Amino acid sequence: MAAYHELTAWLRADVPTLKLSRDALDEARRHGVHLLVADRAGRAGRGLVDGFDELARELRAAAIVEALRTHELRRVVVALADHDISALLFKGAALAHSVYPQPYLRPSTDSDILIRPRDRDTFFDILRRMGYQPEARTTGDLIMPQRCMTRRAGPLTHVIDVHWKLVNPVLYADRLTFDTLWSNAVGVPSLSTSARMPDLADHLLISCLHRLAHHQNTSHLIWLYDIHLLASGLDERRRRSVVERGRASHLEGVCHVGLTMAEDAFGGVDSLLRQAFAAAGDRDAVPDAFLSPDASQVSLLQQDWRALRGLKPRLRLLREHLFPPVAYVRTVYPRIPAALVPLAYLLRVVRGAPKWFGSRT
Amino acid sequence: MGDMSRYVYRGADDKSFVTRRIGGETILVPVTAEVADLDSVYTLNEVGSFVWDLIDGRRSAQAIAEAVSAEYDVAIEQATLDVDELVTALEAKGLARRDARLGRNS
Repeated sequence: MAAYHELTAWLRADVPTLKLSRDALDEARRHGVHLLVADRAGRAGRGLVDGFDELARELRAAAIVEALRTHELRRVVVALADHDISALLFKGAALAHSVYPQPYLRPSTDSDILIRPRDRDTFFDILRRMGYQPEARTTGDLIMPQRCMTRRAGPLTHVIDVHWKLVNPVLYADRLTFDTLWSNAVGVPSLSTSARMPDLADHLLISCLHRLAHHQNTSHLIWLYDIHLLASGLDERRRRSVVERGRASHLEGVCHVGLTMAEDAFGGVDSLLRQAFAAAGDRDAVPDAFLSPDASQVSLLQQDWRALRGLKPRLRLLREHLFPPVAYVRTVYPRIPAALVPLAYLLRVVRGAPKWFGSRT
Repeated sequence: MGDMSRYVYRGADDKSFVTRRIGGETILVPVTAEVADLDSVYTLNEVGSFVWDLIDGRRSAQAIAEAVSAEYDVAIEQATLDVDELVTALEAKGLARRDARLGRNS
């Protein structure tokens, strides 16, 4: 933890003056904030970081990769606009082009795009025509309302995560719908005149939600830095919007956790904003399963089960977990002949059981 | 020496490119058929970045050389040689081209 605290203190300083240790730099790489370190050291003094030259090379490589990803994302956005499909960029790429001083300072491995459920098939067709293929992952509207599409382009693989719900867990999947976010959406001019993203107030809610819903409150710093940048850049009117929308979408508890963690790590979060969500109490309390990275997969399944009303959707939930599409199972077990696919399903359950009951970390 | 009276454009007919600026440097990466050519990544120093910013299809190579001469206080003869050398190198990578017609970058 010493390296973690050294790193956050170094990043928190307006102008760093202390030398960052090797351990803290390694920690920065693990947490995805090493490019921020490189940028700051480049401006404040190369001597502030041991091994700056290596870091500078990483920054240069990251800038090249990001530029190429942006070029590709622009093509996708334009193709969507040409087909009159409304789409929202969110998370990494959207934030990189809106709140970070340079887009290459926010590393991401994919580009997340939210669309209306009815536009899924058209979007997948567009991506296929552009050379994208679906990645072999389990599917199911309840357990995985997203699909990962990839395109190999020379030394790079472009990854587009197509979402038709904002997050996977049933409890939170519909808290912020496409139409709600679209009504407040803003342009991303540095990316494309066609690109849209949720406005910064909605994006703060999304950033707080994402790290809990998909990463169970891990202290991964790049996501906390997103929240820090978003929260510290809001004016009074937008802060009020965050509070109103957070309450309306029952995300008070989620926001309280995210804002508190970001404040602890990097500061800059308005105290009135945090206080506004601190009173969430039991109304919007975040279930324990979403508060610990050690939470088991079963505890998350329990949350999905509880969030669904009635036997039919609950049975569907189990079916989606236990019986993913044959194509997926055959990808996971390519050597099992078609006639023995039922055996592959059984094998999958037996092999997967320890992962479901054990800690996710 | 290349034709200094011609207008200089970014990119070439069959190539696009992406750029990023880090510190005073500009990194240029050619892209052909939507695949990056990482063997042809080109890095421009501060003066090169200044020249790149002026490449817009509305300035001739000579006009760019005159701007460099004024900005960096170097003799016009030297600036002309330097700009020609850079533009020629960029042409070889498909990152720039010269054209007799006035226009603008697409």
